[in-house]
Amino acid sequence: MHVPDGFIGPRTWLPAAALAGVSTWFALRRIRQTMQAEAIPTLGVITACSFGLMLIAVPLPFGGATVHATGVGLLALRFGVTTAYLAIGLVLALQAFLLGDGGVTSLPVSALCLGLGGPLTAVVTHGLLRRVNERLARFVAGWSATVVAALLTALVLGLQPLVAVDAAGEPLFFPFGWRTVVPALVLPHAVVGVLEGLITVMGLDRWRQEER
Amino acid sequence: MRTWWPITLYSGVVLLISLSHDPRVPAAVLILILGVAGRRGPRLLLRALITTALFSGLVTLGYVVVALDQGNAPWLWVLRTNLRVLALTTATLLFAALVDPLTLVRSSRWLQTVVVLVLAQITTVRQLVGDARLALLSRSPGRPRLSALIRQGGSIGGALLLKAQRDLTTRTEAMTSRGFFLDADRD
Repeated sequence: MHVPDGFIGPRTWLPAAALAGVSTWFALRRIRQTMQAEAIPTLGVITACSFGLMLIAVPLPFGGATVHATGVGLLALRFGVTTAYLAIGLVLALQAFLLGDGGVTSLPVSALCLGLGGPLTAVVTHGLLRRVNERLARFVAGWSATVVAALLTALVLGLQPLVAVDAAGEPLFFPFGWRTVVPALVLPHAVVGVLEGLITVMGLDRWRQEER
Repeated sequence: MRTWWPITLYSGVVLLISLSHDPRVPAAVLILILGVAGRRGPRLLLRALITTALFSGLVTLGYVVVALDQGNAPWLWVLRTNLRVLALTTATLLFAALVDPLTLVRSSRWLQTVVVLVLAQITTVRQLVGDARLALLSRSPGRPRLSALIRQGGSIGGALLLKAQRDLTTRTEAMTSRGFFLDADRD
C-alpha cells in the first residue's frame, strides 16, 4: 500500500497534508500531556517497534512475492490509537525519505489511512467484539484495520479521475475510478488481513505469556 | 541558512512537478536532478525505478490495456505520469542523500530526540527480525510451511512488543538520570 509520488494530485494531497499536520499536532500534544517525561522514549521505542513489525514478511503460497505485516492491530491494541498513529506516521516518513518507499506527496494520505484509519478501526472492532471472544476480537481487529486502511486508500485513489482531468477528459494522476480500484485493493488486502489478524492474535498472546 | 536551501528547493521541485501537466517539465527536472546528483545519478535513478516499478508498472499496463480497448491513445498519460513519478522519487532520494534527516526536525528539539532514538534502534530491531528469520530457516530442513511462518510472525511481533515495553522503562530511567526531562517544558 506504499503509493508512490505522482499518483495523487495536489487537490487531494495538499488538504490531506493540512489534515495530517493538524491531527499530528493534536496527537503530539495529547501524548506529551498524558505521558510527560515518558513521551519521548515512548514515541522513539514504539516507532522502532513499528518499523520492526513492518519487516515481518510472509511469502505468498503462489509465486515468489511476499507480503509484510503493518503491525497496525498490534500497536493499536497494545499502545492505543494516538501512539500508533504517531509511530506509523513517523515510520512512513522515514521509509519515504530514507528508502524512497512510498511517496512524499502521498505520505499524508497514507498516514491518515493506515496510521489513523487502521488503529481506530482496530480499537473500535476490538471494543465491540471483546465481550463475545477476546481472541476473535483481536483477530477481527487486525484484519479489519488492514482492510479499512486499504479501502480508505482505494477511495482516495479512485477520487483522482473525478477531481483531476485535462481539457480532453484524460486523467492527470491515478486513472482508475472506484469501481476498479476498490476491489483491486480491498480484495488482496482482505486475504493479507487474515495474516495480519493471526499475527495480532499470536503477537498479543506471546506478549501476555512473557509478561507473566 | 545552509540547511534550508535544499528543503526550499525540494519543496519547490515537488510543487512544480505536481502542478505542471506538461511531460516536458518532469523530464527537464529529472535531467537537472541527475546533473546535480553527478556520479550517483544513475544509482539514484535505478533505485527510483526499482521502488516504483511494481505500482507504476501495474497501473500503466492496466491503463494502456483499457485505453486501447476503448480506442483512446494512452501515450500522453503514460509519458506524463511515469516521468512525474520518476522525477519526484529521484528528487526525494537525492534530497535524502544530501540532507541529514535530523535537520528536517531541527525546529523541535523534542522531535529531534525522538528521531535520534528511532534511528538508533532501527538497526537493533532489524537485526532482531533478521536473526529470528535465520533461526527459523536453520531449524527447518526444507522450505518453512506457511503456518510456521505465520506462527513465527506472531512470535516476532510479541517479542518486539515486549522489547519495546522493556526499552521504554530502561530508556526513560536512563534519560531521567541524565537530567533530560528537567528542561522538558522548553522546546
